Amino acid sequence: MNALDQAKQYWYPVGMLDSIPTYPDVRQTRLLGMAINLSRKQDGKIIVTHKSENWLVKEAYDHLWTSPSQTPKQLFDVPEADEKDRRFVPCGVVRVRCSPLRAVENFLDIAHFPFVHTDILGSEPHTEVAPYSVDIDDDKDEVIATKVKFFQPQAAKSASDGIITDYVYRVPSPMNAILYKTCPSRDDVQDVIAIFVQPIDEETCDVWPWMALYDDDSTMAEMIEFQQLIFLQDRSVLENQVPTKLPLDPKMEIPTRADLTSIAYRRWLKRRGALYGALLNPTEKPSGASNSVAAE
Amino acid sequence: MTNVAIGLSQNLPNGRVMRAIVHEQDLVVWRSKSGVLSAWDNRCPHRGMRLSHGFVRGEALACVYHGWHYDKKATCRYIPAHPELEPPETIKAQQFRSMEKGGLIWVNIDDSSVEPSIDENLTPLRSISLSCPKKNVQTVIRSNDFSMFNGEQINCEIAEQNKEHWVINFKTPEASLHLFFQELPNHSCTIHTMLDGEHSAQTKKHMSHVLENLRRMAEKQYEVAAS
Repeated sequence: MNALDQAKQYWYPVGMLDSIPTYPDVRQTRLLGMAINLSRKQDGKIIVTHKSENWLVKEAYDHLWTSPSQTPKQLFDVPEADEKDRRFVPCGVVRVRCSPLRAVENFLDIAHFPFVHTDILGSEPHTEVAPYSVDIDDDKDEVIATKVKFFQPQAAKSASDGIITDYVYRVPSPMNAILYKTCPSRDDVQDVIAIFVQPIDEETCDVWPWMALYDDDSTMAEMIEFQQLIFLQDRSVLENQVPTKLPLDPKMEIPTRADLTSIAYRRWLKRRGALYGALLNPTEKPSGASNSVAAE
Repeated sequence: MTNVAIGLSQNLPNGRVMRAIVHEQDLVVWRSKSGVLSAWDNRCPHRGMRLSHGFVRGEALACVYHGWHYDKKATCRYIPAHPELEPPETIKAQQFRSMEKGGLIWVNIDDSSVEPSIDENLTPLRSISLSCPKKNVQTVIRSNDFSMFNGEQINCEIAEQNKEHWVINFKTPEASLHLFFQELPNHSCTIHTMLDGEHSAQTKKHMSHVLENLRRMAEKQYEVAAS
C-alpha cells in the first residue's frame, strides 16, 4: 500500500464545529492534497464533499472530522472529553509549512522548552530531561510516554510560579497527539492538551490545538491566546527544519536519550507504513550536504 | 568552484550568526565571541534545524531548537537535556573552508585550498541584494544605459571582467568600484562591493546610489525579459 492510500484510512480534523458555514456558504480546504468543501445544511447536518463524492463526517472534540475512506479506522477515544466539569477550548488553527509528522513530533518533545518557549514552558539552567518511559500500547496500538517530568516557569495560563510538571503523552494515530499534564490549580486531576493535525499535503499542515482544562479563572480568550503563542513559537522552528518531511532513518537525524518518544514514534510510523509526510530513504535529503555521522 | 565572497567582514561582528548560500549549499556562517569565523552546512545533526537561527555562546554556536552547542571544529560539546553527558565526538556539523581576505568573507565548498585573489587595499562599501540573476546585472553594466544616472552622464568604463569580480572605473568622482558577485537560487544574486582605498563620505553615497540605480535597471531588464 502506498503512503497516500495508507493515510486515507484515518479520520482527520478539518474545522471547528462552531465555525462551519451554513449552506450555500462553504469552507474550502484541502486534505491529503485533495480539495474539499464543508458546509452545514439548514437541518444542521454537515456535508463534506470532494469533487462529486460525499465523505463521511463525525463531530468530536469540538471539531469536524472527515475521511476519504468509506470504512475508516475508528476515531481514537479521549475519555476526558466526557468530563463535564472541564472547560473545552478549541484554539483555532495554525498553518505550518512542514510535514504533519514533524508537527506531531515537536508536540511530543520537551527538551526544546527552555529554548523555544523561553520563560514559559522552560528556562535555563533547568534544561535536563530526566529518564522517562515509552511503550507501545498493543491493545490500542498507541505510543505512550509516561513519567515525563520537567521544570516549568509558567506551565499554564493559570500558573503563577515555576513548578515541576508531570506529563503523559499519547499518540493514538499518526497525526494526532494528546498530553496529560499537572494542573496548576488542582492536585487530583490533569489538564489535557491535544493537537489534531490536518495534513494539507506532505509538506504543509493545519494544526488544530484543543484543550480540556480545569481553569476557573482565565477567560476563554486568555486561554486561546496562551496556546496560540506557544504554537507560533513552535512554528518558527518547524518551518526551518531540513528536510521538510520527517526522516525515519536514524542516520539522518541523531537522537539522544531525551528523544525516546520521538524514536518510538518514528519506529511506530515505519512499522505501520504510515509514510505520508515521511522520508524513508536517506538519499532523498534535499540539501547538497550530508552528515557522515551515524547515530550511536 | 572557487572561493565565493558571501559578505563584508564588517557586517558580521563577533558573536553574530548569518545564513549564506553558495552554489545551492545552505550555510550557517558565524563568528565566535573572540572572532573566529566558521562556515558549516546549515543543519543541526540532531533534528535538522537550520543552525543560522542559532545563537553564539562564547566560542560555541548553539542550535535554537534544543540548545546543542558546537565548537569551532563543528563538534557537538554540550547537550542541555543531558548536562552531565560528554557527547560522542561523532556528532558533528559539516564544515566548509572559510576565510577573510581584503575585507570580505569567503567560502569554498569544494575544499580546494586556493586563496582568493583580491587587492588587500580595498575598502568596504556595501552588499546589495537583487531579484535578478547575475547575468542581467552584467548586461546592464555593459550597456550604454547604465552610464546615465539621474539624467546625468556618468563617465565610467569597465576595467576588469573576471567571472565573479568586476571593476568599474569612474572619472567623476574618481574611484574604482569592485563588484564581487554571489549567485543565489531563485534567479537572484547579491553583490558585495568595495572601493579602491579611502574615499569621502560623499563619494561613497554617490556610489551607493549608482548601485541602487543598477539594481533597478537590472531587475527591470530581467522582468521584461521574463514576461
